[in-house]
Amino acid sequence: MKKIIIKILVLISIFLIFLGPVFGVFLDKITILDQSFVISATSNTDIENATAYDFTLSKGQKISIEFSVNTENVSATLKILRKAYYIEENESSSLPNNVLGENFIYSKFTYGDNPDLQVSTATSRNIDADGYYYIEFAGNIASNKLISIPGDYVVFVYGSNSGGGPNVYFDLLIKTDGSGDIVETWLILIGVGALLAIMLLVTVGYLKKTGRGLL
Amino acid sequence: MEKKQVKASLFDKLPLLDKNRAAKFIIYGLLIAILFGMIMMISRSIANSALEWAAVANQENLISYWEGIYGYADFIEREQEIVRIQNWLVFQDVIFMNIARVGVNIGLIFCLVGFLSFAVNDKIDEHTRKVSLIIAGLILFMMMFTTFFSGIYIAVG
Repeated sequence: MKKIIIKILVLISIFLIFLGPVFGVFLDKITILDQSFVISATSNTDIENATAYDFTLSKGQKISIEFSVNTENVSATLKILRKAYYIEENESSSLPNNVLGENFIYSKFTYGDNPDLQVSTATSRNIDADGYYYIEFAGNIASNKLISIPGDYVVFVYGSNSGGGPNVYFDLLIKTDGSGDIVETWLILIGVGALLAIMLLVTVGYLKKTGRGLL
Repeated sequence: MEKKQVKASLFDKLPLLDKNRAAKFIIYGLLIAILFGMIMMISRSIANSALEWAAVANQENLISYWEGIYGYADFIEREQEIVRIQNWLVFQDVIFMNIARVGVNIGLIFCLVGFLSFAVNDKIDEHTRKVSLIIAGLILFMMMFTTFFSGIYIAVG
């Protein structure tokens, strides 16, 4: 093999080894929604006007939802529903308040405190004027741990405006588990494997070229 | 009647290697033994440091949680991942130590054959042959003891 080709292959292998962890970090979480919403203040009483963002969870997958409101007089409530249940409730025009949400967990981030004591469970979260929630969901919960139940779900948000305004404003940032770990492992394995193969090929080539046996 | 010439294999020539080939054997043997010995030491060092690594990783995990980079479910997931990696860091020692042990022994066999060849080579002076025989005996002794008794070690303090 030509020296230049060997050098390029070695560089590519090393590049892959370093690229693995970088891809691992970037693909660890995939943002599926990052949006500021404006919905009608009648969404509190009319399910048709509420926001419903549907997503699918596969086995072992979870989503994290960052839900925030930063507008005076606005009250917004978030629930996570099974999609089929949401369609049923929508068809029967149920009151959003009466719709039953699935169990999820939400975290508080108190620096220095034990995380086990900072997690809570709920089926809905309401924010009045100002607030932020970090919610995690995988289908159901046991104690304060997530249980994975694959399927189609809906993030359901409705609200009201006590100041008489026509709208409700809120922000949603939804992320799902990516394939970062798998990509990272494969890139490192390919890089290391290629390096070893190049080393062996170069050694064999050198021994053949010089006509020297190993012993 | 034509005589049939039988080519002697490398095994037949052992330990009657010529001087140059015997020296090559010793050098290759030393290189192999040093390489696998190095793997042994690195592997043992990684296994011994697993606990310290886990302490650092757990603290990083806590700080990432407190800073709100991820939530409780991810925190628990990473905590379990840290335990898994820590166990692997300890267990890799079993795999690599055994591979390295085989490697070191192969290297020592090369050295043994090299020194034995020196010892039986009548073109070499008597004194060197005696020393070679003693070294070959020591290598054999060491190999046998490290193979049959794993509790033997030399401590450098």
